[in-house]
Amino acid sequence: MTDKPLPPALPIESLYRRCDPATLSFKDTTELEHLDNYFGQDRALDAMRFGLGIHHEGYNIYVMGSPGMGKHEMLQDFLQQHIADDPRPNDWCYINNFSAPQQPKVLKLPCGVAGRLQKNMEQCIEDLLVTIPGVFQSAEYKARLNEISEEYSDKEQQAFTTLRDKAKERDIALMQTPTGYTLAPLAKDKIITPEEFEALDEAEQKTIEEKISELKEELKQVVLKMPMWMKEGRERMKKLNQNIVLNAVNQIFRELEIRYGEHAEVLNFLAEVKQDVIENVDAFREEEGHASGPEDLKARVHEFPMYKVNVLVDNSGTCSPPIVYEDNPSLNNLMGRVEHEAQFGTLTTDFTLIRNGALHRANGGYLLLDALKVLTNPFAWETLKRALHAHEIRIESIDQLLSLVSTKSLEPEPVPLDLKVILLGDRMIYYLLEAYDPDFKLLFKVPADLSEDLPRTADNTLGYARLIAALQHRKSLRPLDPGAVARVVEQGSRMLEDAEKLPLRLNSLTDLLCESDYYAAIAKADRISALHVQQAIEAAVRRMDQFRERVHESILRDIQLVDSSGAKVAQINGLSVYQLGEYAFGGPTRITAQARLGSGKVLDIEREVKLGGNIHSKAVLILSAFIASRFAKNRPLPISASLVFEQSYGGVEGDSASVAEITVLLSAIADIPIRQNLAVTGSINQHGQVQAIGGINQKIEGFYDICAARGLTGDQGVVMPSANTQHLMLASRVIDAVASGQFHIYAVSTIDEALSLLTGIPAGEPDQQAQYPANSVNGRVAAKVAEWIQLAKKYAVHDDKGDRREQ
Amino acid sequence: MTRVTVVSSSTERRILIALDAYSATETGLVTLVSIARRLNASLTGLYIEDSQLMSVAELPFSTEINYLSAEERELQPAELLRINKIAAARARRLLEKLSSRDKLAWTFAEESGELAVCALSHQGCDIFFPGRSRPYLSLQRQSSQPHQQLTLIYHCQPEFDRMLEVVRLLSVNGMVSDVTIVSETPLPADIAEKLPVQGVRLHFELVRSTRPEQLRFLKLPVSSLILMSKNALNGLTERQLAELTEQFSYPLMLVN
Repeated sequence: MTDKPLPPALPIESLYRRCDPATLSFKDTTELEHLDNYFGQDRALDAMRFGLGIHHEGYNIYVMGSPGMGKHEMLQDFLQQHIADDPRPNDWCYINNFSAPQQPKVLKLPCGVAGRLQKNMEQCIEDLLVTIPGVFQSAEYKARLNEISEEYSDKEQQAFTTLRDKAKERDIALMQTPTGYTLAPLAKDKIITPEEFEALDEAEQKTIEEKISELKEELKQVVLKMPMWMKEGRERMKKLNQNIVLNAVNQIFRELEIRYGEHAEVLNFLAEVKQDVIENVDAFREEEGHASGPEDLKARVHEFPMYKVNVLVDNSGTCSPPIVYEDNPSLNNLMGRVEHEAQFGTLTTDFTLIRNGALHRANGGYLLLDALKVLTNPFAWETLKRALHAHEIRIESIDQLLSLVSTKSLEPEPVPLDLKVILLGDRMIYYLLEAYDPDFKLLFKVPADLSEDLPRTADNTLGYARLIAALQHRKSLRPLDPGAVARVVEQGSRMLEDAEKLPLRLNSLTDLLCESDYYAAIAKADRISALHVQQAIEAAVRRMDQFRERVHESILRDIQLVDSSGAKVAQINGLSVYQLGEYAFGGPTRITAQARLGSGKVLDIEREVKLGGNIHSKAVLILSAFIASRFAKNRPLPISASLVFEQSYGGVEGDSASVAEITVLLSAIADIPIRQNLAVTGSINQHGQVQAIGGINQKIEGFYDICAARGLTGDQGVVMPSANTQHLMLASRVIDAVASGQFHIYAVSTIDEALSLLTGIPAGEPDQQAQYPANSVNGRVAAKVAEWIQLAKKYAVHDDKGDRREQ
Repeated sequence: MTRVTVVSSSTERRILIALDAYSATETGLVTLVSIARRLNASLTGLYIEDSQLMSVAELPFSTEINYLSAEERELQPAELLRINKIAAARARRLLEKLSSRDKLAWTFAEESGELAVCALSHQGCDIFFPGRSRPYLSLQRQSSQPHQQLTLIYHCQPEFDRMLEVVRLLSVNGMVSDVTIVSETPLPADIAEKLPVQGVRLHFELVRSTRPEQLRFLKLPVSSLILMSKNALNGLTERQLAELTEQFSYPLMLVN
């Protein structure tokens, strides 16, 4: 059987998918019709239309997509267009509950009415403050007041005069003391002195004492009547006060009652206010010497908060349902709160200090929330769910939720809730909530899954250009010429690591446009060109690539040992990617192996020292299985081997080094040198097929940069999985080197192709007896394995004998 | 800021305020000090310890009925002494404070005896009785402003002209809104001409008797300050004088 030919280096067209500006038929982006933000999001938009259109419980929406998709803007635009014709939302107020002030009542009013009612009530209080004192100044009132006052004064006087006269008839005087009354004996209209009393005989003294004792009882009865008369008098005066102001108060309220005749709840409120004003009319009377100028009136209005209207939500300025985004969805910001005022060292509150939350503001419309923020704000998620379940907003403080305080506070009547909540978050949160929160499925039944990319077809490329035009217009940037648009499209594919796709991450795209505009401005250009886009891309890389420089510098200074020429046994150049946030770069890493006679175990040193991740360990197990299966199918594999990423002091994760690891392992077993002018990346399965990996562009560029810095030799290159060819969007410096034959990129589908390239020796195909050619890589490995099997057998016999001797 | 022009009498005048444990209230003193300022008068506070009550307290069976609870308790001389001492000290302090504020000359004295008798024994001054504080039936708001209602008891005596002068001075200083002249005879026609103060309403009331002992039976305007000739009290017995001050709840000013 003949060996397969080596795979050729990839042609230059495979390394980068250009976007030809000639295919973009416009002069600049101002000629293009703008495209909506939600370009390419048909699936998510269908879900949104469904979620907004369906009016049943629990059909709230979860918009999922990666950060940077521009979800907020996308959603805002979509909602604005979708809800333009929906009915206007209601206004919401809190008013005093006169029968239970700690439980303020909620008042629902048509859009724009609440603010008007609030002003009218303040004016009403002012009118009362002007009118009522005037009524009390009237001569009629004073006359009636005097009548009552005199009536009771007469009553008192009469009672004491009668008693005094009665006492006098018995020669007893009724006298006042500082705290009451006393009775004293009289003689010839003069009060008897103690000496005179002592001079009286016993019978006379006794008679006096008896008279005084009798009168004392009557005096007590008179005194006891006083509080009763007092109370009666006060009630009559109160009644008088109420009657005297009734007409005036009715007059003030009549106008309001006509104005709000259509609103039964307002009429009830006005009736309660009127009743309370009449019952507490004294509060409106002016203090003596109190001036009643306009400023004083305004100030005095605040003495009557119970008649005010606390407008919680005023939608007078809106003509469509509210779209509210709450950036900080804390419990208070979502549900509203009851504020307190410090008065004389004590915190007090009333219904005028109730403040709205996002749910109040969005009631009748749409509330947009970031899922992660809601979940990480204490109590916000639980309270939001409770509100959606109960269809009402109940204002509760954290203190109340935790039962930390038991002081008397307000319990505002809950506000009926009717809105759509739209959560925005990434997919992981969605699936975690779906898995672990049973309420989530009941309340958020509509997932709107945003696409991260779209196919890079000609139509989509033109659509992408229109999207760029829309963003350029929205951000007031310079127009882009076709070359710039083409460069943006290419960079999009590069960022996505897929030459066949266009990314839909609007934030990154917007950033690139803004930064390109900056360089165009510096160049005093009217339009953004490809050069400005390129400058923006390079500057962005430059801002982040200090760490890359350090890593590459350490290789170039032979601190980190990486060969880029020659051939070595049991040593290979693997390729790694360093991910620093959104910035990634690649570079070569030396992987070495040792193999010896042993028990068939491949030792993953990274794993042993807990620097290897699970996927990496899995890859090592796969390659062990592959070697055992290929070279020792019917017998034990008497090999002990070890693998290590040299000079790696951080964690190693992923399976992209498994092609390199299997190659270096076979090199160690069969003493076959590996070309150091090549670096390799790719994962492998148990059948020896090479599979795609991530970060292909950065890895190739990383090895190229090292080789270029040392001086290209013309035979250097990278071996990569052929499945990754479609992902290639390499930097122009690499493409130029490939074009000039200085650098080569090989795409392989099997491990044998990789072995052939990396060793320069054919891998070798098995013949009908499953024997590999002796001079092939596989043949040399098989031979070494056979040799070790014999050795293993020999040692096994020695052990047996030894055992017997011991017996 | 409102500028107040005070019109005051050029005649030297002294007002004696007769105080006891029942009448030494701040309202009464404020009223008096305001009047004194307008009349350019000096003030004499006279606190009178009720000797009759002290004597009654020494009787073996004497008790008092509390006006709030109708509770009976022993009337003790020592307790009365203590109350009087406190009330006198308080009255002195108040008079000092208010007089100093209005820059009025003032003196203060304490005596023991019967209120009206003691007060009337002082010659050459007008006498002011603040009126007994009534524990009950204070149905109307107590006014802290100087008197707006003024009642003159007409006795056809030469002092009446002085009373009219007092009324005129108080009226032009904005302290009076209504003046009621009570008389048992028709009034001379020129009285209205003697009170030509704008904005002050004049009322005349003809009654059967204006004798002091009958005053308490008259229907006088509520909270009115009563002005009466000092000579009108001539001929009253001590008991009648005592009853007048005990039972008359209005502030009373006897014009010398």
